[in-house]
Amino acid sequence: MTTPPAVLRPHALPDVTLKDNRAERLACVVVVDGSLSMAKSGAIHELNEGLKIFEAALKDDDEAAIAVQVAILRMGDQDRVETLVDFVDAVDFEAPTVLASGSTPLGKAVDQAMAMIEQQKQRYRQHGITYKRPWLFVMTDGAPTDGPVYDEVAVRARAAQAEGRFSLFAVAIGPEARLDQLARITHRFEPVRLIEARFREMFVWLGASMSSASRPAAGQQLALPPPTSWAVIEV
Amino acid sequence: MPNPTSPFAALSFGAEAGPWRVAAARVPGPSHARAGIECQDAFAVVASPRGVAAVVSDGAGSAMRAGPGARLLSFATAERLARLLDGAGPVDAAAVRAAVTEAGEAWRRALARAGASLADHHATLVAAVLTDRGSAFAHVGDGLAGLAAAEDWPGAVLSRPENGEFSNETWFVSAPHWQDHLRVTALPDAAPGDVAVLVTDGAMPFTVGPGGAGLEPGLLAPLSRHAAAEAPGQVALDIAGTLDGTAARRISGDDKTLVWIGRSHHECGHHERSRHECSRHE
Repeated sequence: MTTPPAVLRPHALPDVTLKDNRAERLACVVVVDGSLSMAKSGAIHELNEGLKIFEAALKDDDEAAIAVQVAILRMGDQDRVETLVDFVDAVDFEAPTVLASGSTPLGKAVDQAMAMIEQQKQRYRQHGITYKRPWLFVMTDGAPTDGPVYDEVAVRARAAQAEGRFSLFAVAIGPEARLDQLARITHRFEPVRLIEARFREMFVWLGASMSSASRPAAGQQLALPPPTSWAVIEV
Repeated sequence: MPNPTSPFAALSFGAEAGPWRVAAARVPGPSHARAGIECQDAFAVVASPRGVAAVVSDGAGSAMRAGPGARLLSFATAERLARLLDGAGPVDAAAVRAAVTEAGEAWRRALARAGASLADHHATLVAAVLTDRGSAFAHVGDGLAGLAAAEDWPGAVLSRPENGEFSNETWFVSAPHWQDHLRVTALPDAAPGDVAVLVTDGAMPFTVGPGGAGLEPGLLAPLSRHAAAEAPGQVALDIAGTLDGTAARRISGDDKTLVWIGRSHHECGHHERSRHECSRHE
């Protein structure tokens, strides 16, 4: 009598506990417009509500809450750039309240955002943390009020994007915003114009896109959802 | 040629040869499985009483023929490295570098002869040769290899991934100047109780140890205990079950491959489950 061969069946390995020891980060700097015109149009209230939605969207996604790190810069006052939130894990991010007064120093704001991104990447490298290409999200309802600075920063911003140092998304708020000026700082992604005051939809999109981008790389190109629910691309 | 050799395109494979035990599996990521895309990872193993040659390869998702590219590369490299097992010379870093270079160049030439685009076959490479005459890892791109002695998981020697600046950009054997990115790590001669593991990028987050140091005890310790007690074929299937499980899917949506290699404490090659059969263990 022969013993039939044992039938092998797949099971999970016993007693194994899988832990995610990867320390991969996705840095995102959001530059918000805190100039006086945002108050005059009432857009500042919508912006603040949108930031709260952004916070909730990031925290609702387990992976994004751990992987994404957010910083918020406000431009306003007398050509001043203010760090409202320095880089913080999304899980600890609390949406700030943006006040509206003063001018729109877009050049200084983008310059500071680029410096913050490079410093954060340096911190990642020092600590052996891997990271994805950072995001810089810029929104304004006007035109830069720091022209000469903006001229110089725009050249550097485009060159940095061409080198793949970060991805920049620019959003024009309202009819007065100058898409042609925003186009000077973008490289891969054309600037878009916010439909009415759809900050809520815009931040839902941003949160979802950050969640998608924070996923471990599966060797695929990052495909972002189209921003059609909140923006138009003018040609 | 030493035997047994893992079959081409196997999803799981287990073998025992002398003091060596090998269990390997690869699974498609959940998004690939849903889309009906084949697993673009591959592995190849040659095990003999004189040692083990093992390779894992991750075909780039953006490459049209990533899966075949990874399979051909892993087999070509494992077969070339297996010649070192039967040779008389030392298995040092220079010998392993020469063998991997020869295999990679032969793979590239074969693709060119077939009129195939190298870019369509982008694939990474993580290889190990473990023998009593020397051992080494060879590595191009991402993925991870680790060797731990006597269950010292935190102290494991690692061959780490080499990415571009960003974690989703890596190097491939199919890329120009690939030999500049071939990294060889010399290892101590294989010793009883050694455990080596090779993984592709998808399995790395739960294979590397906390803080990126050593190997993860929560995976390697129970896996190694299981591998010492069960038939290698069953262990390989169970590795596949874990790689395809909810916990692994939650951590990574990528294809996942893991090759476990263990050297027995018992020179006769008998392991825990068959110790009673060996008079030398009495």
